Amino acid sequence: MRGIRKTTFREIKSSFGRFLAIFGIVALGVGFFAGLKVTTEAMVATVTEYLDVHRFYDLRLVSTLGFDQENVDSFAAAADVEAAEGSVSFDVLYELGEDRQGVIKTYSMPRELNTLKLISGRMPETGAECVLDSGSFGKSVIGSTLRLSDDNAEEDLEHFSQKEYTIVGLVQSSLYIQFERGNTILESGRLDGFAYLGPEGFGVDYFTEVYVSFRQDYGLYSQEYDAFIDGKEPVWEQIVEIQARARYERIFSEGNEKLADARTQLDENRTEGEKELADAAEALEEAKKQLEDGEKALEEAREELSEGEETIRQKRKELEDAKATIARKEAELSEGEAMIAPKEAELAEARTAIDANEVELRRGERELSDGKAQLRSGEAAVSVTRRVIDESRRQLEAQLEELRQSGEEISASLVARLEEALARLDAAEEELRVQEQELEAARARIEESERQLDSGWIAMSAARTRLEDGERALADAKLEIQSGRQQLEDARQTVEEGEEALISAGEELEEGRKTLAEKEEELAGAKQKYADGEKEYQDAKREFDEK
Amino acid sequence: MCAFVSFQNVKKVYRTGEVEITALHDVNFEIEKGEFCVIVGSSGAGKTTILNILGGMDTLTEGEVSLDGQIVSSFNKRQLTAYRRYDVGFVFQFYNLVQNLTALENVELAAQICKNPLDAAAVLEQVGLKDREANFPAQLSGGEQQRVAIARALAKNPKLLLCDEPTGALDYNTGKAVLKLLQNTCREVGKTVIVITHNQALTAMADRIITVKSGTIVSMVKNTNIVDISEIEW
Repeated sequence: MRGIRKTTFREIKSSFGRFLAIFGIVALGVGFFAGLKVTTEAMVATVTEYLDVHRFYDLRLVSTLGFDQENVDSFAAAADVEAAEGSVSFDVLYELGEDRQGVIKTYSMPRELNTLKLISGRMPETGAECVLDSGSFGKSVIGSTLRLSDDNAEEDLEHFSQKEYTIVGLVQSSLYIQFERGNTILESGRLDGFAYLGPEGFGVDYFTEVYVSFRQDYGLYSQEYDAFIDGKEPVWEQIVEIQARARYERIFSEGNEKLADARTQLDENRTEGEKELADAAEALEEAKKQLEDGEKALEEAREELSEGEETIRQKRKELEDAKATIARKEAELSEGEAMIAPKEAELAEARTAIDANEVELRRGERELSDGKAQLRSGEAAVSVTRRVIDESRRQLEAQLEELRQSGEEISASLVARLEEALARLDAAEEELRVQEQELEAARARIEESERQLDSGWIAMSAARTRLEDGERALADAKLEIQSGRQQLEDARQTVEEGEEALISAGEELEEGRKTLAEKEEELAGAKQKYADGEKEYQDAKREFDEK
Repeated sequence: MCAFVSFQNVKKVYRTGEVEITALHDVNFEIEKGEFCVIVGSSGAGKTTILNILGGMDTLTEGEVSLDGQIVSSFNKRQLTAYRRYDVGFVFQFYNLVQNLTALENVELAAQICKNPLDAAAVLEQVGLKDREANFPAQLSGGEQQRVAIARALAKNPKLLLCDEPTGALDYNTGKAVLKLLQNTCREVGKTVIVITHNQALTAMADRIITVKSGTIVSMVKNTNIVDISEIEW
């Protein structure tokens, strides 16, 4: 390949500047890429070394009851464990100088695991000294005092042996390899940093967590390490359970002793208490009985009251009815009185009428007698006429007979005259008949008038009798009205009396009601007292039972 | 008798998406060993395509191509590379010399990649460029460059010498000189030379004339009346 090499070199030589430029660009790119690829490893290697040097932990164990030294020793004796160390940590509100305050997480000094790197100052030697986070505080704080704020809860302050700690240095902790300092439940929720207190800086006799480091070493973030820890986790969960239970038992047995003592005390107090309760119960029972009696009495009183009310109501109703009746009767009376006047007028009228009637009747009688006289005269005339007629007739007839007997020639004129005479006779008879009829009629009329007159007399006397009756009745009625009025007066009187009685009865009722109300109030008050008493009793009983 | 070069029912179709362009169809011809063959045809007839397929620089769609008993058309890529390298010498219309190497180095380049190369200097001398060995192609004239190209092709000592319009970029006299060189190579060394041209006059110097028109062979004629190039005028 000599030829190819030659042509390549010559090409480079002929445009060396361009070659260098391209070379430079490519070199930059390659360097960039190489750097990118190696950074991860470099970073991981740096952290790994740092954590190895400071003996960072593999497992952190926590429990709701914390751990004691026995627990830590048991952990240290477990499989593959290189070291197990207990540590105390608490979040607390702090004050630094005049203007700096916040939340800080305090730790106990590490011995083997999670060691510190001193940045400036020195490590704390006594329990009144501490070192602070070099990432959050500057050198200027060395020498000043870290004060635990008064805003902390009492129980939080009890975790510490001091209220103030002198800051003697700044450290880096292997627990904090990032800028974030973590979260807390106090105040704002963010931690300002950490502080390590000197020996005996905390006032508690237990550990809040235990750090465990295993003998095996694996790369940071490596899969082997993850697998290793995953394998350890379930085992250690068991171990922690067991240890937590052991601690629980220890605490429990201590507690139990105290409990036994307390219990004896309790029994003693209990018997006393029960006795007192029994007495109280008795008293309550009595009070209850009294209340019931009182209630019963009240009930009866109430009943009486209602009965009385009922009676009053009835009586009132009766009164009303009586009043109504009185009114009605009065009205009737007035009506009656009203009626009397027209009746009297009527009677007067009747009397006048009757008198007028009598006058007329007498006149009628006179007319009657005149009529009768006329009749008699008429009748006499008639009979005379009749006699005449009859006579005439007889004469005529006799003539006729004579004639007939004679049988002679009857002259027409004679016949005519005879006939005429007959006719005249007939006519006269007719007239007579008519007159007789008229007379009959007149007679009839007279008889009629007589009858009428008689009846008129009868009627008049009847009317007069009636009138007298009527007058009598009127007089009676007047009397009745009088007496009725009297009765009304009496009745009214009675009603007034009755009303008075009702009013007084009402007042009595009111009084009775008032008394009832008072009594009810008393009862309610007594009930309340009873209820309070009972409640007290119940509370006392409950407290007693609880205790 | 098995021909040295044989094309049988060769078909070449360029397919771009749905468009099909048939560059060659029903191409059938044979060339004997040691013949000087001229392939003529107008522009776009398919001459270069035939040469490219024969030279292993292109593949065919249908058919069979064989050279000296080997079926070239069934070679895979690796075999084709070896074939191009060892068995075929190519002379292009536009020389394609490496600009950064001298004439001698260009020829040596070819000699470095094949099995039985000829001596580069000797071949250059053969083509008459002894004095111009150390010159770069930029310092040579067209004819000299073409001669270097021919020397390069010859140095490989191939079975076949393919020339794609070798005189296309040259003037009348220079072209004649180059053709003379080719003819001599054929006659004296006994190489099989195939020349593509559109110049009808050149057919007189050939042993075999293949006429290509519209992608297919119109005629394949053995020339009975072979004329020396120096006597051909056009």
